[in-house]
Amino acid sequence: MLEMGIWLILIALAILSFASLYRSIKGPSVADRIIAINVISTKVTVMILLISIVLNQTGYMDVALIYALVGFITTLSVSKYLAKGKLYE
Amino acid sequence: MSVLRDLISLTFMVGGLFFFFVGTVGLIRLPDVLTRMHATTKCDTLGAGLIVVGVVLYWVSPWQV
Repeated sequence: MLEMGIWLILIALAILSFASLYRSIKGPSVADRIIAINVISTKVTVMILLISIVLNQTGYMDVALIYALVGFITTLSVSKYLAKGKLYE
Repeated sequence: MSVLRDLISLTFMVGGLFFFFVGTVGLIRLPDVLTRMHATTKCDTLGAGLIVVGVVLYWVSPWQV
């Protein structure tokens, strides 16, 4: 029962990720694209966590942790580039 | 005991999926940058938080007594 529900939640999250990709492509400003990519990164992190239940392997939770860190650094560096025009001195 | 665990985990996950849905609809339909940011904060806090609570309640050990 739980596996079937998790598969349905995974499919729904994939569809919602593609719906967010619409805003990432067609966003009028750069801030819209940053927001959309941040949301897609959160969804992919949650999908990796749910896959760890479906495949019954706890190692995928470490993958989700590293993916969350990489997504945060992506958002932070793109925002800094947008604000200052350069990434480092 | 396993059925109870599955039901509680699935309840939290469906709640998180609802907040992801709300945040994505807000991201697509709202008119301004700041309102879109306001909508997607629901994805980042409540949606991811509820699904992670569901995952934690699945993997936690006292269910296997």
